[in-house]
Amino acid sequence: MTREPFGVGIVGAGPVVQAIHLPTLARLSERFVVRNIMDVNPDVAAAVAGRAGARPSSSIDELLADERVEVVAICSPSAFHAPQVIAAMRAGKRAVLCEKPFATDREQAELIAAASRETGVPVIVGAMHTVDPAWLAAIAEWEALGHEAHTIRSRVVLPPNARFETSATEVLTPRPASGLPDLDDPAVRAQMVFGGVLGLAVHDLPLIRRLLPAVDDIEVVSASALSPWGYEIGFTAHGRLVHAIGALTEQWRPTWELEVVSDEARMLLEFPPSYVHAGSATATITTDARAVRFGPYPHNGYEGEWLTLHAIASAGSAAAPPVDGLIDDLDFVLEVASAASETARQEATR
Amino acid sequence: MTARTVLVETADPRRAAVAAATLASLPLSYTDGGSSTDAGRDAEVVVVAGSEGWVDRVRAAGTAGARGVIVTDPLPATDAGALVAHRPACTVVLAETWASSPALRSAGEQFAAPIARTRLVDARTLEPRTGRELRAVLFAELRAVQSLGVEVASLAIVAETASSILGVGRSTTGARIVLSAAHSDTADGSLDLLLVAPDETIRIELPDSTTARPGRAVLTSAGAAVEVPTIWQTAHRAAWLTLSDALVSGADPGHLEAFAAATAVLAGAGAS
Repeated sequence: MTREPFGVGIVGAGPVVQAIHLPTLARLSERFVVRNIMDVNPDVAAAVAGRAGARPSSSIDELLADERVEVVAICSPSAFHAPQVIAAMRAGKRAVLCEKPFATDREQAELIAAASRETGVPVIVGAMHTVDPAWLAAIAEWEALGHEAHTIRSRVVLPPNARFETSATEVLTPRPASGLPDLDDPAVRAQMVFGGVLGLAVHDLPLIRRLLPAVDDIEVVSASALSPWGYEIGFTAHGRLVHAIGALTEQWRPTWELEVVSDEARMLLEFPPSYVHAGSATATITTDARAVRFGPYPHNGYEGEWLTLHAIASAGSAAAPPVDGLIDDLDFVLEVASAASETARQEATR
Repeated sequence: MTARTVLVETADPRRAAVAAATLASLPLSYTDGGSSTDAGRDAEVVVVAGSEGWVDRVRAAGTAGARGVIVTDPLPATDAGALVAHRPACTVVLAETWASSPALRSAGEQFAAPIARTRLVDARTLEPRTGRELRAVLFAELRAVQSLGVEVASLAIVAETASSILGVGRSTTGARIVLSAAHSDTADGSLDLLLVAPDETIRIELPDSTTARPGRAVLTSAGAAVEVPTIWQTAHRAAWLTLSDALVSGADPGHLEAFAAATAVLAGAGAS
């Protein structure tokens, strides 16, 4: 390291911050030091900040006024993301990491983009699979060999989040228990699928977008809410077929797979579950002649997010990913979520 | 035990080779009665190629006096229902790519209760670009799901691209059924089945029907994972043993009914 660690301010102190960002930053102590943690609940802010040796705040203005905060992570509910990201930029911070989705609609995303261009402050989205080292290595190989995906299939079947949160940290604010949804209600089905895309499928949709030639003609061909919680979605784009399943269950085995198929090759990505620091995904590219495996590498996508933030905070906005790409990712996610939820609303469930 | 004489149709070399290999693995149960295209002549068991026209050949074998008929890799046949309505005078066993897998049978028997609780069945495979049409592959997936004990009530082909196919539907208990297949040179003939219930998952991996490499079936619950014992036997050999048992017991294995039901489901899935 040629410079002092960047001072970090974190907006929001919920389970994701406690179980993901603080343990991640603790692994990157040569690059970052947590200076300030804000939460609307002062007790939570104080307790979580105390763990990290940081100063607690109960408003974003207070956090942004802390001159030791050089980079900001926005980890609040998504409805607050856009104004908070913009406030951090206007406060002159070096870079912003925003949890996904970084805005709730394109209009808000455009406001973020405009503020980024105006202030020169770069922003990245906390989408850990997009910076997972195994994905980055495998997609580079896949594209270098000229493979063109014609079929993409995602399977995500996970045990309860608490199983991994409590393995990553000691969570101060456990998630509230949820009841059994009534899938005979069309609105419940639609909401479950919409939430499933924004909460779970969102991790892999940027990867899928990169594998498709374009996404301007998406047609959702199937969508269904799964009991007790999950989604099944199929869509086509430029003659390619994409199918995604996501489900939360009580069984213990996490399955997080993304399969990419071309005429001559198959790429299978197997991701570790969220929250835990278990290294990267494993990616295997198979042809009829051989199979080549990438990973697992020592660091995972969470570390990848913060390493990316460190790089752009050090080098300036020129090193940041184009904000237009983030907007296109968001557009894609929202379009799939909207169309799929509408299909699920209209679906006959028996 | 007296070995039953077997006559293998030779018109389809690939299917005939599969049958010959299976016959060689069951020397006490079956004996080679020669090969002929005259189905059923002087043989107790006739092995019919499941290529186009197999329904007529099954009927011919029964008429010629065969006690049992094995159909090797039967293609979807819209007239299969006729064999149910007007049964031939013989026991018919279908030797199918995945539906005859001994691992699938074990999983169906041992995991019957969790299978009944399933809310999602996801079947996916890859087929060589020089292989079967994807609708036939989808049908084979459907038959595997049926053989597991999931009764599929409806299916719709919702996407058919140049390289892939997707069918979705419902079981009679309301579970979501997803069948997908794609063409790729990387295909190895295996089928990947995932069943998801609120408290359990079942993952089943089946090899192609000509290998004795075992399929795997694992039930995962909140506190454990249970795997059915591996069986190093091809799907075809398992089907031939089913016929042998049926001829002793006199009980019909019910393959034709299930096949006809699957045919009807696929027929309702939408035009290609």
